[in-house]
Amino acid sequence: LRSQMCSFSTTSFSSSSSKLLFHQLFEKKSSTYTYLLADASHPEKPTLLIDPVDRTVDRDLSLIEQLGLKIVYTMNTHVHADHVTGTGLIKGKVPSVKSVISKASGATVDLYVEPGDKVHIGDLFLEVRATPGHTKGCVTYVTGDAPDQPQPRMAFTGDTLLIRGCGRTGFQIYTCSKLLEQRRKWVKV
Amino acid sequence: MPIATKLYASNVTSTLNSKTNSNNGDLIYVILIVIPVIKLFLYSTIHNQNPTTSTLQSLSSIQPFWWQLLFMLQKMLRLHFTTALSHFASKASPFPLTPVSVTVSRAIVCNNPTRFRSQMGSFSTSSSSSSKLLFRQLFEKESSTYTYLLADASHPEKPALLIDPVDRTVDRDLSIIEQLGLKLVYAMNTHVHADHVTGTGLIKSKVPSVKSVISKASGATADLYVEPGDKVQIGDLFLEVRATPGHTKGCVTYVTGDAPDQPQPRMAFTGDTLLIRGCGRTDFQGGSSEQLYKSIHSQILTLPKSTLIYPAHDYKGFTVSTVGEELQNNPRITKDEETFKNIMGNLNLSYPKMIDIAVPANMVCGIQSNPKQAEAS
Repeated sequence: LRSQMCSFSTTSFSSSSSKLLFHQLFEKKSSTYTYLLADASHPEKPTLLIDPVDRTVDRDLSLIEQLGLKIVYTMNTHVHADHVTGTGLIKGKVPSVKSVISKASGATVDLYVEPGDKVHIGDLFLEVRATPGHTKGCVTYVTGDAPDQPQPRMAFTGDTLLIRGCGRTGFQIYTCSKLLEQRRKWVKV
Repeated sequence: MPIATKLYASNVTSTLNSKTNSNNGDLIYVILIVIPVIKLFLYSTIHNQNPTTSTLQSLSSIQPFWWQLLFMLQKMLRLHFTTALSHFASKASPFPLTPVSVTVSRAIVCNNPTRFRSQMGSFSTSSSSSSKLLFRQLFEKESSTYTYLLADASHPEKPALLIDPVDRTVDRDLSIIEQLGLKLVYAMNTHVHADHVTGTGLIKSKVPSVKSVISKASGATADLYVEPGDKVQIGDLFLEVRATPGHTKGCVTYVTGDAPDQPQPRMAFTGDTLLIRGCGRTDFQGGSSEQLYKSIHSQILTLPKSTLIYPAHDYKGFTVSTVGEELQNNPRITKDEETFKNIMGNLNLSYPKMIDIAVPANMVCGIQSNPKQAEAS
């Protein structure tokens, strides 16, 4: 029996029916983080990747295989300008994977999300919040606000909010004032 | 005069309220609206007729006092809105950091309400815990080195320590410590590094109260030497020292405490001893593959499977693993000892290019004696 390994745990998990397996992964050249989230308590261990990068797809899929996970979704927070997404490569290697991005991005994918949507993997879910400003199609994926969801909550902000910074706004249509407005709304939540 | 002042205040208040509620547009437009209103008021007061029939010249010549008043009000407006702008800017830029409930109650007990903003738990533990770990994993890109920051955020002084700081990222590390209102007590190294210069000496020069820590077996110069079984305490948190020679003869692994009030899952800062899906090379600095194998198996893999593994380096972009994950997936340490020694003996790695600079420097907290290469005075 393969051991269920948890890389992030909180006290709420003792009462929780889901168990988050979480990995933060780094791509050095573009300084991009890819995130892996899985429900390790579900028999199939459904998994998703957020913002995978083309040059690290092999690493990501290798990790998923090692941990006995089943990748269901590959999600992007927006259409990236500084690296090529690994989504297409992943779908090429694992055809059952669904690609996900916001409808507002205008990109081609399997599934479009809109503000308020929930993306489920097992008993875990991510809530979709529209955070345009860096690009017009940016979204932030936030873990669920419920007793059985991971605590503290996690917000995958893409390039909208960076650590001690925020995304540039000079490309892909949107303006500074819009970004500032979104940041204010976001912080108030 | 009283009437004019009242009008001014009324317009400003009304406009600010509107601005706050709607989050609309630029403040500059507010100024553009208010000044004409005041001008209109002045014209109608002076002439009691349609303002379009007036000119600035005639106003100036007829009523110099009112003209002076107009300029004064304009200056007041500009000053006021400059203040307002900086107020908004200061609110927008550093986002308010909401403390979690446990931290709030602890902060109240500790009588430090003014520090609410900087108390931000990045890792939470059971409510029965008396300490609250504030944890950051920080990365130095060139040498692919992780520096770790741990602090007891529930202690009034927020004592903190750094593990394996790098010289070129010292400013970043000290900056985050200052931002979070922490007090740096120790700069600890897992071993004498060969691939980068430690930031310990630089840190000590900027924060003289910091103590440098390394194992006695390393042979390096430091303020405090640790030996196997020692505990390094910051507030109510502590790290247990485990000897893990093999990569170098002086390697140690720092493990969070095995007690109900310590962070769960436990965390092991393994330096270069155990890496994610790998391990440290053993061909320099008194290294030994036999010793490394024994160290890993007896000191790290015996920890609970949920123990988080935080190495000093990663070259593939991994950030954390667990004992359980490594037991299942590490291609080297899961082999028997003979196979492991054979693998390690045939790695054929290139000569570590920094070793001739880094090791001599790191034997003395990263201070470099050659002035051409020195990065600190």
